[in-house]
Amino acid sequence: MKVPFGWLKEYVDWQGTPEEVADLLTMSGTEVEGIAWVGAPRDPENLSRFVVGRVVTRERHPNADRLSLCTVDVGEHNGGVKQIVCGADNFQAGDVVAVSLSGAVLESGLKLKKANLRGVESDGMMLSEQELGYEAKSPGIVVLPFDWEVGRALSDYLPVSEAVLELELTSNRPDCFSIYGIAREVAAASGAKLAPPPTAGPAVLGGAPAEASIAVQVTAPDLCPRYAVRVIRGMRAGDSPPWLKARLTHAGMRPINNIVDVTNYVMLAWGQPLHAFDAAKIAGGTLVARRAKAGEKIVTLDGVERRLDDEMLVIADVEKPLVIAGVFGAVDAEVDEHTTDVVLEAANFSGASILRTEMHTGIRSEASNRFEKGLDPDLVPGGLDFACRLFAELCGGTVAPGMVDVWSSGPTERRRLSYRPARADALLGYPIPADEQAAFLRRLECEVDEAGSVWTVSVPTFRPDLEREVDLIEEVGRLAGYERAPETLPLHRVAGGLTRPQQVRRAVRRALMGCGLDEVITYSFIAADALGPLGFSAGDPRLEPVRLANPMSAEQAVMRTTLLPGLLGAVRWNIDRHNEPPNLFEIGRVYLWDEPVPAPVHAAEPGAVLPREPEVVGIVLSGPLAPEEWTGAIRATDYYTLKGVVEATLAAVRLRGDYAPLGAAAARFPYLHPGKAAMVAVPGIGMAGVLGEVRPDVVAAYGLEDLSVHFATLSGRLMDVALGTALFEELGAYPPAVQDLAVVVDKDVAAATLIELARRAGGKLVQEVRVFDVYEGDQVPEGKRSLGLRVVMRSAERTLDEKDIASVRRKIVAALEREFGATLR
Amino acid sequence: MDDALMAQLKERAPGLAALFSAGSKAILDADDLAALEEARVATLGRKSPLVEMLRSINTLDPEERPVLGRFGNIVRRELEALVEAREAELKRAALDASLAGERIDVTLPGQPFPSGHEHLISQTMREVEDIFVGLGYRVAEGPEVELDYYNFTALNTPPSHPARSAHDTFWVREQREAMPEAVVDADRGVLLRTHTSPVQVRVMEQQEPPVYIVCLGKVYRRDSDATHTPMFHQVEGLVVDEGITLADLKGTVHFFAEEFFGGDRAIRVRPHFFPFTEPSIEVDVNCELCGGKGCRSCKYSGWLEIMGAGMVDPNLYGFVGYDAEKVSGFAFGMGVERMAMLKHGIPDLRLFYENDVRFLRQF
Repeated sequence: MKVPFGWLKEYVDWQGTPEEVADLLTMSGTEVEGIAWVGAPRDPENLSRFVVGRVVTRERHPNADRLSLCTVDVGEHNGGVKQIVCGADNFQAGDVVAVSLSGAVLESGLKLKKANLRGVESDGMMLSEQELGYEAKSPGIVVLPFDWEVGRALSDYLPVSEAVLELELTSNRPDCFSIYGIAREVAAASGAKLAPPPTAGPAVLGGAPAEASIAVQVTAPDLCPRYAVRVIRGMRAGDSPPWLKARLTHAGMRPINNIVDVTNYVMLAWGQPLHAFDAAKIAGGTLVARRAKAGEKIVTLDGVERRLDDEMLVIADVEKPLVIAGVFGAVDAEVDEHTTDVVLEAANFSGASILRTEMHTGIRSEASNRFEKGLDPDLVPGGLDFACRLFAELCGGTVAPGMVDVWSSGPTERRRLSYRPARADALLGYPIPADEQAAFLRRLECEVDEAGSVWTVSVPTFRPDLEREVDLIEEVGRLAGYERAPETLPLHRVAGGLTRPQQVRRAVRRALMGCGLDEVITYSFIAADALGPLGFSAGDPRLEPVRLANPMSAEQAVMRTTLLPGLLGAVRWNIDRHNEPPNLFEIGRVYLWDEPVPAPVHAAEPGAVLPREPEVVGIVLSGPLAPEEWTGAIRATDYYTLKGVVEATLAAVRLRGDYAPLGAAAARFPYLHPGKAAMVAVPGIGMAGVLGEVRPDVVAAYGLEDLSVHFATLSGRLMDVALGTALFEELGAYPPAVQDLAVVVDKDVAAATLIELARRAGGKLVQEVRVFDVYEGDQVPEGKRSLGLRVVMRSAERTLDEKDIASVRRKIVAALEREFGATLR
Repeated sequence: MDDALMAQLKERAPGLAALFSAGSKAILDADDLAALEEARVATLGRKSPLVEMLRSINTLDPEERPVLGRFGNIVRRELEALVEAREAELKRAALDASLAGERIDVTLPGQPFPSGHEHLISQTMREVEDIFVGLGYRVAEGPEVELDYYNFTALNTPPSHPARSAHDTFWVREQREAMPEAVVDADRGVLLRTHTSPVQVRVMEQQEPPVYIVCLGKVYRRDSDATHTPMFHQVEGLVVDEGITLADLKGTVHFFAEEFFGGDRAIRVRPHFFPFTEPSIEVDVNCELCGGKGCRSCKYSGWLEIMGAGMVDPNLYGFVGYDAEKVSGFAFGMGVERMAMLKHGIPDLRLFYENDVRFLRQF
């Protein structure tokens, strides 16, 4: 909300600067986001150059038909009569005008100088409303009331320069959505004197009573607790005076005409939205506050036809809806330049209902923004009085006696609360003297009965947010100022720490970074069709994602069921920006309906379920792990690179995987190359993930042609079994013996199987068997390959001799020959 | 050989003294290893006058024998030491000369060992976790696809609150498929959590006070521009114990601000409003970039808003069965991205989710 500083000062005796009041408000809970300075530069020297003048003579410019040559009296102390050339023609000699003297700097930054305009000297300028900043465009200069004193500073009458506070209000404080409400906050927070409410009614009433012209029916009292109108007759619609335009403009509203401007002014000042109906346009002389009929249509002021439903309140006459209540008017009963008699509405609508209507229609107005917070019904009569006085003063209206007031909820009782000052001390953490607490509450217009340790506090009706003792404690705390509270730390009785899975997650991340992979975080939502290219078969739970009812875009319509599309998207982003093909990982959740999690009965409808959210580690390699370098060593990324990354990651959390071809599981991972993919099992949880080359057609489907991509996904269940305690193993005092065997076997005998057999066959002395060479080619028969196995033997009791070594070797060779027909090369 | 010994030698065995002088000169004059070997053979070899003399010592006069024997051996040891020293000297000189010829360009880059980067959001969350773990907190986790009850109702959010609208919150279609759009709006059971606060409720349902937890994770809101992404990360903390005060909250937040942002930092606590805390505050930390004078980063206020916080609203205790007269508590929440942006000077939130390696590798 925009609060012009000059307007605020009308209601509270604030002696400080705008910056000081901004700070006061911010530190007492009404955040001031900034101060905008509008109008002419604000130094007093400059402002003294804007004065009230009177046109003495006006003649045609001798050398220009469209210019006038005027003499303007700006007062003795301002230099007497000035000669001013002017291009406007909406004034005559004798008019009171706004003059900026030579040397004045305007809002635009233009500095006025004596000038020669077509051969005639011009000393100063008569200002238009546009130059004063009150209108976007104005046809001529502004003509001021005839009784303004010539020679006085214009700023005594008009805000030539204004500081506008930009407030960020919170939804719990409907009372703050007015200048007077903010003045009340300033008074409460500072102790400055608050002016009485600006709601005095018109001095004179006249004509037939209001009820002679209008009847009111409320058929939906739940949506409309109070509906009141007054009648004003004989108005002359026209332009508002400059001060009113200035106030509205500075507060962020556009001047329309004097009748509408008055309703807006009162809303801004007092917080009660008003609506002026042209009495002549109300069919049947009756206003009805009723539910709209389902499907009923209304053409709002912006020319849009809107469909209503029966949860929305309309204000109608006997024929048609005239207003979507509290939200937006229709053309049918609006005031216009021919309006003379006005029915002025001040109502109280259900905040929840207004909010719902705003959401369903997509309309939000200054009025609905206030109503949706839930206003105080006691604002109604003041709002009507205030506006009626201004109608009488500014629009020539005669206010009819009486108010038609349908107040179905009846007068609001002041809420009475118990309050323990000692409880405030206990919650805030420092003592505030009881009499000081009482004084703060009284500044908020509470009545305080201080008897005993439990007080009774009665709360003003404009503070619906004060419902409980703790709400009052907050008021006392903020008015005392939170800077008064000391800084302490709780006295803990519990220990902190990370759970095992949380520690494992960190270790996995460190391991993957150690392999050279960069961590990414991609959106949890993906396009519904992003899963298509992965080739899952019908019925696969990964094809049944968690769908958003109201996604922001088709690209983000469903929750991911696998990390792969997001990771490929990240690869593509980098490739498209000419970065080297990246190697990435992500640790995040996927969302699956396969084993729904029942919701606790107290928290949801019976039968409600949540999806499962398993955590997954996704790894994608699209280029070499080490960048190309000047020594020339570079290893192209292949399946074994990926496997090395997976092995290193598992090792970092003290796990060892067993790798096997996908076999029957291949159908579950149709996006992987069938011959270059494996699953990895881990003791304690079984299958822990898959790894392999992504099929080239799948890679291409994500816009990555001709890129070799490897992908692994590891289950978050690892976190539960990883980082077990390692137990010490004897180092062994005796030296190892090493034997290399080159065995030729059928190509499709898996290395892991050979190693396993060699270990078993070799017996206790075998400490390790590993592959140090793989050869296929001319030296071995077609369909075979040679594997170099390095067997490391060691005994805990003695140094092994030739006999021991030969025996182990013999047993291994025999077993390999027996099981796989292996021959030594 | 020191001067006293040399004088004695000259007086009592002038022949040996002459041999020593000649031998030591030859050894010291040798300027490569071959010359040194030649000098060694000439001076200490089997056929050298010294060795021959020592070998024939038995033929000497018995009175002279001890003197010559003692001095002869001294001279031999001294000469041997000279040979050894000279040899070391010559070897070192030779190695120096050879090393001097070996030069590489030390400015060429080293062998690149791969090293990846932790996403800045992970780093930031880890730092926050560590600070609070140090203060005695545990790290709690909960579902991202959440029930309305935990996300709103049990957090004291009224049914008509705008945050619940389809405009601000992502709602999830229930598993039953093909519901018409109109029904979806009414059927509001399941949503993407809009903050990490539901975890607090779930934890309080599961355990009695004292509670000291932080919850970190992904949250979702329907917003997308330079300062909003539909997914972002939050950290929230919750303390419920006997006698917890607003002063405890202030102290905790100040400690955190100094640990996280570093240095001596000032905090400023402003009143605010949240449905789940009462009193509610917003916390600012002083802007280091301008030292409080005001700059673009702090919108010329000298302060950076870092979190919303407050004393847990007693209504929440009603939902989880705590006694509001016996325990009190505080809660705080902040955006992880915002913390990282403030700390590292990052201008645009979207950079976090583009995953451009040029961004990732800066941190």
